[in-house]
Formats: sequence, structure tokens, C-alpha cells
Amino acid sequence: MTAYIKSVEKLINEFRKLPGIGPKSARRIVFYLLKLTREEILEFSKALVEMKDKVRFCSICFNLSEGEMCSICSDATRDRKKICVVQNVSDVTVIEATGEYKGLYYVLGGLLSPIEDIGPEEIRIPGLVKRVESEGIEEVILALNPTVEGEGTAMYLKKVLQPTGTRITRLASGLPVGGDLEYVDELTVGKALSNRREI
Amino acid sequence: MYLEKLELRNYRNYEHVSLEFGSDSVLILGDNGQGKTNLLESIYFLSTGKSHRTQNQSELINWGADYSILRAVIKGSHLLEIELRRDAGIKVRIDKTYQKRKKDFVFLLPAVIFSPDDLKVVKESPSNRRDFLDEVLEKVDPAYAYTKSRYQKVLLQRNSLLKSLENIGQLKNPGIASTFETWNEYLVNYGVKIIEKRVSLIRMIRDKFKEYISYFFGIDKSDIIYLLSWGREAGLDYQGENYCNFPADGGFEYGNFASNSNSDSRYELDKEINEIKEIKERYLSKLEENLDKDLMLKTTSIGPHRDDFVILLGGRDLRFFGSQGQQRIATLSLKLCEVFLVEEKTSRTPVLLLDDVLSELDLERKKLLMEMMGHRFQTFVTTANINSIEDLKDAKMRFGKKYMVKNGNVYQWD
Repeated sequence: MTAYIKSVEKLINEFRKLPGIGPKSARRIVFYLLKLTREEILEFSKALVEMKDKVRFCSICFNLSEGEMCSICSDATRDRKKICVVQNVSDVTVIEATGEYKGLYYVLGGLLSPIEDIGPEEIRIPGLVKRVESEGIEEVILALNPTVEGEGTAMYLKKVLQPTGTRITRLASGLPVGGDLEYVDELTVGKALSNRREI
Repeated sequence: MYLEKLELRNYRNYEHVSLEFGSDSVLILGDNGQGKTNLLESIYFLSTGKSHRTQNQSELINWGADYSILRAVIKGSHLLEIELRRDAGIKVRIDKTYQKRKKDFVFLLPAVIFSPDDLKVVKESPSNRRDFLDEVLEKVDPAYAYTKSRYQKVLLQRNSLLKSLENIGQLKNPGIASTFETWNEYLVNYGVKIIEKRVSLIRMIRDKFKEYISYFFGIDKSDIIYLLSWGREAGLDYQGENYCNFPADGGFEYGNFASNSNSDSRYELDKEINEIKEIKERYLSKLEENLDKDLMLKTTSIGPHRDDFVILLGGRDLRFFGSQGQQRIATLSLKLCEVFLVEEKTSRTPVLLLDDVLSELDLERKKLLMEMMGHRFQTFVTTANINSIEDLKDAKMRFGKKYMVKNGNVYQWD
């Protein structure tokens, strides 16, 4: 392990900081990079710096953006009366991939958690309320994870958004599409059963 | 259904043992420290994937060995094998096929274990009684463990909020205080579910419990009552409004409903739902009432994590006023209720494991117990005292097989 030259070892350690990368993957990546030409490496490092310099957060929804406003917020064809509230930027990508949703977003950047000292300000809740009020939003869709913190945040949002008179909905939970009833655990079936609806 | 064959390799003090049983009860005799309990523990492990004595799995593996294998042939059903390794978890095979989920084998071989340790359920602090209810519920209700762990997580959040509220002046983000109501509500949502499930468990076993107590003692006046946390503090006033009571029709009553109960009325679902709502409101207002106290103690003093149940015998709390013998019988009766529930909910006849329970009972009760269980269930009985079995000669039951355990070896004996 310690047999590497300093500069190689340093780079391996940098890669190890990335999510999902362990010591073995880090080594593999670095050995791959060693084979590249100087131009290719420059291209790669330039891309990194450019990303950091150019990417900003949308001033309206806090999604990733290149300008003041993200591509979704500035898209005139979107339904401007709906807001989907998500925890992270990556959740926007997930929902966009469905192609089912044509409204706008609001990225909280976290969830309420007294243990971590995270309150409503830290996750931009006052900003959301203000936006719902001033833009006359008709529906707020809560797309938060069904963890304790996710559900706590959803409950809090419901409480602070109710006075605005907007419709508040949340993602359904239950059977996976294409799933076989036989192979789904009791808990999920139970949840699907209590959330059943007429067809 | 019964356990036909048990084989252990490197389990506790057994290097290798292979035993065969019939559907009759099995007697296991041996001096202290020879491995009687280990045998029962291994059957329980095959049933639940857990030991009733330890959390530390590597304790179950024989000294000097790296792995341990438990094998059970269940009559008319399956071959169940569990592989324990020191460095890894457990592996389960059913009919030679590896299983992915633990749930897949739990209750292939349902078992209920009776051990002298159970006495603490009746005798000691409320947490023992809560554990008893929770363990039974986890066995018969697949969603219960989830609800409980959720409740505990929310409780943790609320407690940590209480800690930060204490010095609100220097709070980094005073806004966090505004979420307090939400955490309360959320806590109550899960808390009520736990209360509801525990109460319905007590409702299901209540008649059986009375039946068992009267079978053993001829005493008709016994009862078992779920106690809400805010009622516990009110003192031992059983007529009080803070008890969940259960009229004969099976619906449970709450608070002042108790005084005008109508035992002729049929159980109505709507009524039950209303009462749950009632508990919910009560719970929320009690949380608010106790806020100052909670802030001072920096913990939540109200909720199912502080609930309890009382056993009444002749109108008196058995925990404080019962004799040792009465407490033992009440413990047995509770475990028999567990047997009844497991049988009812899993539609299988459990195997009963009686670890050194007989020697603690008088002759009369011993006979009654063995006559009740011996012919309905495959019952494994351990004892160090041969006399406690000699007493049973004229009882209407018999042991199919008798074994003697000595220093990790098992001999058939008659």
C-alpha cells in the first residue's frame, strides 16, 4: 500500500473521499488516469473546475442551475400552479425521469431532525411558504422519503401550508409496479391495502 | 406437528448429539451445568433464530470450534438447518435450500419457552411486562416491530428537541421550537398504534388468562388490565378513569366509560374506533400537561414506553400482594396465553419448552400443568430432580422418551 509515490497516493486518497468509492476502486481509477495523455487530464480537470464555477443553485427552487433560474423554473410550458417538494437535487432527476410531472419543484436540501439540530430555517421552509402564498400555488406535492424524518417534515409542512389554502398531497406508497403480490413483504402489502383506492 | 429429530454440532457444550422424538412429551434429566437448558435453547433457536438467553451469537458456538450446526426434522413438514459462524451471521436452509430472509423460517417450528426467569414479568419492573407484550406481538403481528421501531425513533427526536428547548435563549435556530407540535403529533400517531395493539392483545388473552388461573387455583376473581402511563402515576385506583378496561362484550372501554358499561351490548367496531380517538386526544393533552416536567427531566414521561399492565387476583395487585407461588402460576398462565395466541395466529401447534419449571411447583399444580400440556403438545421438560417426576406417576400423562444429560452427552434412559 505504501509503496506508491506520494503524488499517486494523494490522488488515491482524494478519490476515496467520493461516495461509493473504496480503496480498491480508487486505485483502479488512478491507474487508469495514469495512462491518459496530458491533454486528456487537462480536459478532465477543466471539467471539474468548470462545474464548480458554473453550477449554481436556482434562486427559486434550489435545483441545480447554470444561471439565476434553473431550466425547469424558466420553462414556460410547465404548470406553474404545482410545486413538488423534494429533499435533494437528485430527487428532482428521479421525478423528471418519470415524465409524469409537469409542475415546478422546491428542493429542501435536508429534513427536519432535532437530533442534528435541523429546524425549518435550515431546510428553507419559510421560503416555500412565502412562495406558495405569493404565487397562488394550487397544489403542493410532498415527495419525501418515508423515513421518520421525512414523515415528520411532511407533517410539519402540512401544518404550515394549510393556512394558505393550497391542496397538499403526498406520494402514494405500496406495491411496486410489476411486482407480484406473493413476493412483497407483509408490511408493504398492509400499507398498500390501507392506501387502496377505487378503480 | 412435532419435532422428530434434533441434531447439534458444536453447539454450546455439545460436540455432536443426535436425538429422535415421538409426538409424546420428552423428559430431560441431569445435574446442574450439564447442558439441559442448552438443548431447549437450541430448539428455541431453530424456532425463532434467537436465543432466549443471549444476544451474542458466538456464545452459542462450542469453544474451539468455528461454526455450529443445528438441524431439525419437523414431522410432516421440513428439514430445517441453521449454520452459525463466529465471523458471520446465520445461514438458514430449508430442505437443503438456502433462505434469504429470516422471516422465511421463523415459525416453521413454533415454540414457546418457559423458564424460571419469566417470573420477572410478574414480579419486577414494568419494563419486563412491556417486553413480554412486545415479544408476543412481534411473534404474531409482522408489522408490530416496525411500528415499535418507528415510535422509538420519533421518541428520540422529541427527547433531543426537549434537550435543545431547555436553553432556548442560546438556541442556534429558535425556529426548531416551532416543530415541537409536529413531533408530538407524530409521536402520538405511532404511540396510539402501539397502545391499540397491546390492548387488543390483552383483550384476546384475557378470558384465557382467567380460565388458567381458575384451573390452577379454583379462584374465579382474577383479571388482567392494561395501564396507560398517565394512569400509573394516578396511583392504584382501579375504578379510576385512567385504566383501559374491558367489558365482557370484548370492546374496550376507556376512562369514564367504565362506570356505565353495558355488558349486553354487542361489540361494535365504530365504538372501538371512537375510543381510540379518545385515547389519542387524551394522549396529546397529557403530553402538553407534562411539558414542564418533560423539559426538566429532558425526556418524555408519557407514552407506551411507560405503560404497564396489572394482574389482579381476588381484586389485589399480584405484583405486590401475591405469594411467590401465586406469582409463579400467574407467570405460567401468561405463558400459556402466549401458547394459545401463537397457536391461534399461526395455525400451528407449538412445541413447548419447560426449563426447570416443574421443580418450582407443588405436586397439585405440577399435575395440573402436565395434564393440561402433556397430551396436547410435544413438551420438553428439563429437571435436575428425579423426584419431581416420580410425583407425576399417577398423573394422566406420560413421557414418550426420557434422556439423561451428562457433561455434553445425552443418554436414553428409562
